[in-house]
Amino acid sequence: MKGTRRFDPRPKIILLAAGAVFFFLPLRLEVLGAGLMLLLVPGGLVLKTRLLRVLSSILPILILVALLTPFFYRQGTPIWQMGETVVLTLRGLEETGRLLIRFTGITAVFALFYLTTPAERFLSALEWYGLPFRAALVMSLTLRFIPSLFTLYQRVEDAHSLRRAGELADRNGFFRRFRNLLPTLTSVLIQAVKKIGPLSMSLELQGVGLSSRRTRFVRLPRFRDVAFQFLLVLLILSLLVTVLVIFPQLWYNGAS
Amino acid sequence: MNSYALELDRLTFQYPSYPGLPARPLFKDLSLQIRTGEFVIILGAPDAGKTTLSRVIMDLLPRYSGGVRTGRVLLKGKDVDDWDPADLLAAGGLLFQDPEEQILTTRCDSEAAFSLESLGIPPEEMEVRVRNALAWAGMEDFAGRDPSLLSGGEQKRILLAAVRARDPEFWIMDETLEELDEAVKEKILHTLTEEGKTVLLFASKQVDLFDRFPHRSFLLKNGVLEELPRENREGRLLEEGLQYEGFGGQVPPEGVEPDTPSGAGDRPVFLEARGLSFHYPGGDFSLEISRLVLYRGETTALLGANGSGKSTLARILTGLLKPQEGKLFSPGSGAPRVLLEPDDLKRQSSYLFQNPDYQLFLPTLEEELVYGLKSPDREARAAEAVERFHLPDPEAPPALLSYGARKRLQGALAYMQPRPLLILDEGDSGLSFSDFFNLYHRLRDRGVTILLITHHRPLAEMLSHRILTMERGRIISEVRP
Repeated sequence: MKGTRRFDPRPKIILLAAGAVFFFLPLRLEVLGAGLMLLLVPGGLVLKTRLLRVLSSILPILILVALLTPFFYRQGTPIWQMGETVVLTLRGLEETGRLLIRFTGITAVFALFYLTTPAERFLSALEWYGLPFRAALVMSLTLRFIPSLFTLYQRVEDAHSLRRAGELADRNGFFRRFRNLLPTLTSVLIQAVKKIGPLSMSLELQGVGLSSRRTRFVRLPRFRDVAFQFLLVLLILSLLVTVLVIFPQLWYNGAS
Repeated sequence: MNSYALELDRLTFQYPSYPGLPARPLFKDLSLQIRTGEFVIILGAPDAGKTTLSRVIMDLLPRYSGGVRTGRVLLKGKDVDDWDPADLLAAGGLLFQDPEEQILTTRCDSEAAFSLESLGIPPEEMEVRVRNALAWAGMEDFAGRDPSLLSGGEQKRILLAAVRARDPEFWIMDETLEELDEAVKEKILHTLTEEGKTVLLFASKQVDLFDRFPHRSFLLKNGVLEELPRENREGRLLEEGLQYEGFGGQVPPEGVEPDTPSGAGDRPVFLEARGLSFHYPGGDFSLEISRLVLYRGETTALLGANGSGKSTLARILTGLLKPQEGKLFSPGSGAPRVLLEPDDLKRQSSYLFQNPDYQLFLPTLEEELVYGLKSPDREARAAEAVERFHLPDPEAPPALLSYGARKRLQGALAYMQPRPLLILDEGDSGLSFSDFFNLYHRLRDRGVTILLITHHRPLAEMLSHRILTMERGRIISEVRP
């Protein structure tokens, strides 16, 4: 864990962008799946339950995607028909898998990046790439508040689980979690919206928006001290691109 | 040079109207003068408008809230509207009541340094200032920690360090001393008064500590500031429920006394925990409790420094956290004990969280109170709860109520769904004595077993049958007051 935090955020940003792009490429399902595993296995080893907790927070959305997406595809080889009506096709299942992998992959890429990169170092790295301070601050604050919202969600969920216990606990069954999600999400939303005003005030109270030139408390290492990390990242990406160019069969051709 | 650090001149402020919460002036023609180097305390009930006033002084409201302000706020003789933002940042610091609202970064040292960066302080100087400020707040070992994962009291200390690093002349503290350890509170006030800082402290109760430092007190009530000369201050604050005189003799207010002083074994065991062990993944904190017993109908106070594990223990006792080792039991109806799983613990527990907002989600107060209840008399019970907990109009939106009103609503929710175990986590924080006593009395009335987490030892000594003190995840003492 400490090693991943020592990894400089500047080359890590390149990996973040590449990871996000990878899951949007029209690749075969197996390739996307392999990419996801390459991300989750080492990520899980480094972050253990933290990564699992982040991924479990998107579980309701994944379930909805898995339940609804297959039935919106009529093209491709039918695998379930009711009379003349095609209900389920191979293409529908493939697209569902693609969406699930894509969503999980993007979430995992950002979670891995954020959970191993303090927001202040991310901010400094964005400024190093030439982004103006305010834009970099907005991006780092956004990333900083994603885990905050996740923590908030857990606290609210705890509070609601106590409130539901007892008189409200009679509701059992498969959809109970979904039914309980609405009050929890509403509380989280109220809390999140309520944070906007104080957050703006706090930023102002701490001098964001002043015209004077900001100094930096967090200083990134000199480029030459982390050049090998950049090289390593570029090597990995070159390898990946080469493989994708040499083997066109890795790309999805639309047939199923 | 102007000898006044702050002057309020006929200040009037009014929020916009919301359904169920019609606009009314929160302050009217409020005037006040604070001399440079003076320590002033503004006391007021939770709904008095203390937070609003602190933000109006720093020129944040009504810009961020809407509403109307008239009158003038002068800082060092200059209208706050005319201050250059950088000068204002260097000259004054405001600490919010809820530290979570103010934290911006993911490292404690970066948090302390953030405003120094804005002021363009050179990095070498910044490092020294941050290190010293964290040490001053007793948080030097937390430099690399994520503030969002700290307890409320620890977060307040990080924000105190952040202001200290900037070292402004004028400090505005909104309930900042609540939830802090006694020694830390004393150190803060000692340093600031010793160094001649101008301190404006907003507080919901008068405590003995304040009297150790020369100060002037004001009462904020119904939008009016009333100066409280020392000779008749106590009577006035007692009248308003902002001070309580019974602590010395352990005299509880009417209706809230523990019903019988009890020794171990007087009462049946309600809950027993054995061999509890818990640690957060990736953290260095661990909780180790060899044995803990809560007796039925007793109030047990849990004291301890910030981060000592009080809330973690409470979360285990209510089934919100599952310990890695250890078990919890309740005595069965016969001799054998019954092992309690997290779901059993949740069913028997009410938890008044430090943050009252976690449980609120409905558009009106009444809907919130009756949510999930099936009994035919639920509306009547809700009306009773509104009256008993001094809540505003049942149509009012809970999210827009004042902090104190939301705390009372939280109590009312526990009242509507009574459970045998009640956790009051910093239950008195941000409340006046009268508000807290009322809340405690209404919930205690029902004979529940209470775990009271507080930093206020006299309060614990007065209300509880037993006091447990925690340190670094262990219970280090158990006394019966």
